[in-house]
Parts: sequence; structure tokens; C-alpha cells
Amino acid sequence: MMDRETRHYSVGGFVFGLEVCAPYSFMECTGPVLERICRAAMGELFPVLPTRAGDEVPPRTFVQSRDELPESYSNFTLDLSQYEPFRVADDMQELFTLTVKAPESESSMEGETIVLNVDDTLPSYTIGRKGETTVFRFKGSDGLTTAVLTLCEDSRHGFFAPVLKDGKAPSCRPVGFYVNMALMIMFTYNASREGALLIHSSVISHDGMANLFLGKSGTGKSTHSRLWLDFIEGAQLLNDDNPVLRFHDGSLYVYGTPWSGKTPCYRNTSRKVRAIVNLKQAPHNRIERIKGIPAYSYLLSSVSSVRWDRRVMDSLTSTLSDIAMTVPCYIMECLPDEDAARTCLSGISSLSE
Amino acid sequence: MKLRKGFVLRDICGERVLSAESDKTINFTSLVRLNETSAYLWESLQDVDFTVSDMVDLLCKRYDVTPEVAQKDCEALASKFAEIGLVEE
Repeated sequence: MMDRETRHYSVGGFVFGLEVCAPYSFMECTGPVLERICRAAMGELFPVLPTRAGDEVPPRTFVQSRDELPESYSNFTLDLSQYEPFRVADDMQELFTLTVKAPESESSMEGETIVLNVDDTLPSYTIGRKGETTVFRFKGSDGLTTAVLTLCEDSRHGFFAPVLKDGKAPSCRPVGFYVNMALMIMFTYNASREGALLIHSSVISHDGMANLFLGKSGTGKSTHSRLWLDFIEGAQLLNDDNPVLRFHDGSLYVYGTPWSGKTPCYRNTSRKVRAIVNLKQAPHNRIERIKGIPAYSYLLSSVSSVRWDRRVMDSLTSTLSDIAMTVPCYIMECLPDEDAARTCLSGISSLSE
Repeated sequence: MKLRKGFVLRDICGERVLSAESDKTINFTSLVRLNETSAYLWESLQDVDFTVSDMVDLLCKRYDVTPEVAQKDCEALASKFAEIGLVEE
């Protein structure tokens, strides 16, 4: 068994490295899993529907049942198969690296100042500063720290270690979940420097471009995407939770990522953005164009909170301001019905200002 | 009075805007749009204990305005800042 293995992935055009150290290892992908990965790697449509409230939660990765797990599977196997469609060669210049280490006892918090307690997501976590390093402590359902991410000064190197509880390592499923969070956090810090960001949104590609649906959790983004898939010809799901936005040659593009929330939609593809639509539940279907500060405000509330990091906020606010000023943004009050999708399509296609 | 900490004055979509950006202002979810005058006062009064009279002095120094008009404007602005929650308790 290998002592450590490093793989590289490209998301939104940014390459990052993931180094996994013993006893952890990358899961070996079996036949059916590999087939799904291949298709997703080509940006191909994988038959997956956005998960709506009340739906049974599908598997989060490309593994759809226990018998698709390899023989080598153990409590130290990390099923990160959703990253495989984004895999690239190992000799590419990387933006950042995350190292997953062996489980250890929780490190002392001496000298660490808690900067923020993020408890509006699951899992909740604290952000602390210890000199020039930033420490993220992810809490399990028992409220205790289950994994720790330590970011070095320039955020380009991160170290992730699960925490031993009574000498035992946590189950590998939550560990995999925390590794995803760690990678998303590192992506946010590093990609912001290059003007790219992660946004909480469901994305439908249609007619050669993409439409983003924004709104607080539970507002019905996935439901609205589902309506497009059901009723609008040619609509396809690009991502259902956290796509990447990035300007390229003056136009805004949205990218598929390994981070799609409850819907396993992992497509290595991108589209130019046609419209950004903020959804609100209402007893009618109505879409309205918004601009400037109001548009910016909605965008800001859909981007992960790193408000206390000045460097990240400087780039993030600048990029969001550019988006608000160049990409058509809308507010849509809607019902979860066919007419909502049609009203939306009609509203964003309309040439009137 | 003193201005509350944790806000960053930014140029967003061509406007000057106060953005809440610290754990101390994490519950402050609105953006505050400032016109040129209020932005100037905001920047000048950072980290300082000030009165309306100080605001009036700053305005008169920079703009061609009578002290009476400045007084009215500054009273209104100070009251607005307090109302929105931009003044330290």
C-alpha cells in the first residue's frame, strides 16, 4: 500500500492538488463507476435530476450501491469519485494543495483566536487564527470537532486531519464530506485572487448558454431547474449547488464542479452565462430585470461567507460588481409549475430593458 | 460618538457603498449606499470620537456651503447613521 498519493484536478480552469496520506487512500473505482466518470469527464449528460425537498437523497458520488464498492474498501477509503471527471496530469502548475493526513488527537487551541462561528450550514465549523495560519474546526453531529483544516499563510497549502475520539477515527463518509468542504474553502481563497468564485446556485444550460437560479436554501432552485428540464426543450442540468463563475475574454462563464450538493451532477463543462435569476416563492409567476446595487446584493448573499478576510473580499466584491454590471440579472417571483419555467424563459429572452 | 468598526467603504457598480465585513458586523446584512458627501465624512471620521460640530467643520472645509446648511445636513446624517446602526453603542 502506498504511503501517500497525489492527484490533480482542474475546476473552473484552476488546477489543484490533493495529497492523501496513509492510512487513507483514494478509492479504486470499479467498472460501472468508471463508466459514469468517463461520460461526465466529457461533459456528457448523466441522467440525473435535481433533488427537490422531499425527494429521496441520491448517492453523493458516482457509486450508486454497495456492490459497486471495491474489495479494498475500508474505513480509510475516501470515495472522491466525483472529482475524477476533473482529473488532469500531475505535472501541471497548481493553484493550491490540500494534504489529507492520518487521524490525530485534536490539536490544542492555545494561541488561537476564534474569528467566526459558522453555524448556518451543516456541518458547522469555527474559523480561528493562530499567527499567520487559519484553522477550521468542523463539528460533527455530536457538536465535537471531527476534523481540522489548517491553512498556511498564503492559503496555498492546507493540511486536513480527522480527529480521534477515544482513540478511534471518524467514519470515512463524513470524512469525505469534510474533505469536500476543505477543498471548497481552499478553492474560494485561492480562486478569488484570479477573479473566480463559487456561487450557491442551480444551473441550467439551454440554447448554447447557461442560466443561474439563485435563492436561499429551500427557496426552490432545484425545483425550478427541474421544471426547465421537464418543460423546456433542450434544457440540461449543469450543476445543482456550487458552480464556478469566472470572466474570460470579457464574458462571464459558469463551470461544472465536483460540488453539486444533494444532486450528483458532476459535469466537466462550461457555458457562457445568459442570465442570473433570483427566485422568490410567490402565488404568481412574474419576472423583473434588476441592475446595479440590488443585483450585486443578491449575488453577494449567494456567495460563501469569507467576509472577514480582506484580501478575498477585495477581489470578490470587485468580480461581483463586474457581474452585476455586465450580466442580465432578474428577480423572479414564482410558483413551482410549468408556467414558471416558461415565464422565466420568456423574460430572459426578451430584448426589452 | 464613534463610527462602528467592521465596515469597508467600497466602489460597487459605480456607487460608494458600506459593506459589513467582520464577525462584529456579521448580522448586518444590508449594504449602505453613500453619496459623495457622506462617503467623505465616513472616511474622515474613522477611529475618531466626534460631534455634529466636527462634521460641520469637515463639510465647510471641503464644500462651499454655509454653516447653517451644513449644520442641518450633518444633524440629519448623524441621526441617519445612528438609525441604521453605524454608530458605536
